Amino acid sequence: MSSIELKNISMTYDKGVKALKNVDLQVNDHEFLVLLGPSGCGKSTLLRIVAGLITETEGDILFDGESMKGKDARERNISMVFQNYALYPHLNVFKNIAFPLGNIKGITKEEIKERVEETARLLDIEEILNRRPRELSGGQKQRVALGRAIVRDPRVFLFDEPLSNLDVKMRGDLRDLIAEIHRNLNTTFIYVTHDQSEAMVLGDRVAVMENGVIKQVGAPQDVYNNPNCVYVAGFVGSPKMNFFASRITKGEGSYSVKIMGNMFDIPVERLPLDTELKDDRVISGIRPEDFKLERPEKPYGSLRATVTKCIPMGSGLHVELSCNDKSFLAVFLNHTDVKVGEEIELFVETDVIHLFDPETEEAICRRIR
Amino acid sequence: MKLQMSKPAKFFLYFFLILVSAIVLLPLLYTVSASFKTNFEIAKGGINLIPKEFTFENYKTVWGMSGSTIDSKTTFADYTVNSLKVSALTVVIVVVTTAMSAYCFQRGNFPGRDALYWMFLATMFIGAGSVTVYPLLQVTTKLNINNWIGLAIVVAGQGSASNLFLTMGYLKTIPKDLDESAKIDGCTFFTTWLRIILPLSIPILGTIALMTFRGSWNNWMIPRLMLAKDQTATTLVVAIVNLASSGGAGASQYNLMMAGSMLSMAPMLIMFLIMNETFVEGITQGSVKG
Repeated sequence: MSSIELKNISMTYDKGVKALKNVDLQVNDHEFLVLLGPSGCGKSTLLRIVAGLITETEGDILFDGESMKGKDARERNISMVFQNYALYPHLNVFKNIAFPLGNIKGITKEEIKERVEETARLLDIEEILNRRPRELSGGQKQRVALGRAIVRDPRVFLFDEPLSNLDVKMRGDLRDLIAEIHRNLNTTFIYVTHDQSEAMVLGDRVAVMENGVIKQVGAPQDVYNNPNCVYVAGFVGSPKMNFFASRITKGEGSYSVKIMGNMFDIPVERLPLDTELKDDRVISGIRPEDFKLERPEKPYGSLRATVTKCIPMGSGLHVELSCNDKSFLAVFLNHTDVKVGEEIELFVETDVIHLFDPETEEAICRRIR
Repeated sequence: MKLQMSKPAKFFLYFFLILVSAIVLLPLLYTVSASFKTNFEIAKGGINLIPKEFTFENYKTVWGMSGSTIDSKTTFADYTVNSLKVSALTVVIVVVTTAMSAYCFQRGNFPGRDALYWMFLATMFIGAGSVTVYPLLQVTTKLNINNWIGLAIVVAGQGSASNLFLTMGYLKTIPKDLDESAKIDGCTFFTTWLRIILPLSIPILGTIALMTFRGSWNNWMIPRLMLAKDQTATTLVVAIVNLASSGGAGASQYNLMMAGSMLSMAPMLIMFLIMNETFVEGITQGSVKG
């Protein structure tokens, strides 16, 4: 167990590519932190720097306050699970799991056997201890890789997209297994993924990254409810949030936003009247699931739109709509009686409309609930 | 995949295949057949592959006799042992140094790595058979290593660049994730090599061992020159070639040369059979992702 502090980490590769730019991040003891972002955003680089596999060009990493400068991977007492499993092909499952123990001095053969067998029991892979990696399925391989990581007591567990190569069912099973391991071991976990559902399910906190910068850190639900910029708002949540170029005006008692020709009043609790706005341009964002067919009890605004496409998704209906020549997406649960060509009235609670500055793309008001 | 070809094209394909096979195989077949002929029959000429008079005498004579006229006590059995010693040591030197240096060049990061690598590769283009022989002999003489150990070192050095090149290419196919994983599991740069990379390089090292053994075993010029002073230490191939001028009054005992050549092939064949197993095992070894 260990707390980790990343201080002003920058990483520039040989060809001048800046992979990380002044990253600051605090990972608390026992915390499950997920680094979320698209490929090439620097999340794997950051994980490798924590692991000591690559050296940061600038900055420092502290494990429990102790600087890791000049310490390579094997001196940091960490475990890592790779996307490609990275099992040693010439060793059987037992030897793969026992491998890290072989590098610890003063550990007996009996102890190694005991610990490997205990780990195998935990992961339900006792039956395959004598097999070589090539004889295993993807899910089994990743279980073995997990076993190799948990067989000793590392300070930190690092996961580099461990579920990306697995099919959907196996991914779900292993995701639950990883969550269970975290509960049982109570160790610090850092987990890299581009899959927001993994991030939502697993993370105590999520750090959303883009182009080598951490855009927002917070509890998954908080990041979803209160994205601090257009990028995070668009990346977290599926399907993606709808964005509209809008105009904002100060009305009587509150600000009003004009979205696709319809006026929505923003509550003063969210946007006080003394807020200084540069001009009347604003980017407004509404999540597809926030469009409702029924009149809500909370303050709301409404608009009329024409259905252009219906996509049944099993659990709900994805509906593409058009309003004043602008198209957007809405998701309805339990409603399948919407037809293409039909004009319908949609309601949006004014609490869940997101507003962003068009230049800085930063959020200008927070959600209150 | 089946190749679609017109009849004339097929005819030419087979014609050239047979031609090339014949060019390659005929001398070998002739050697086999001549090793069972009398010297008189060989000297008469002609390429009849079935001996008129079939005899095992050549083999018996070769195995028991002394190869050259210089020291009558040294037999072909001794030369075989000499060759085995030199070839085995060459293989050990080559495999150990290649495995280690390829790993350092491919995975290591040290100042001057690229410059050193290109210097190494440059030696690939200067054959030891031509311009380097004289300076080489000067060096070995000065160092006083004109013996079987020195010979093994020199022969080992000859192919080092191409072996390095081959092995590095092979190491490229071993995912770096394995190295990183090993580091995290507590391995140093050296133990990563010893416990992960080395066992995974066995197929390529086996190939290199085989090629090196063959090269060292069949080498004639370097042992001929380096061991010129001590004929008892010379290698089998040198001794066989010496037979060409060993007969009375300069006559060549081709029959014995042929039998000797056949005998000298035996260890190579055995090596191939042993290494074949390693190859198959190596090729079927699982990879990282599957």
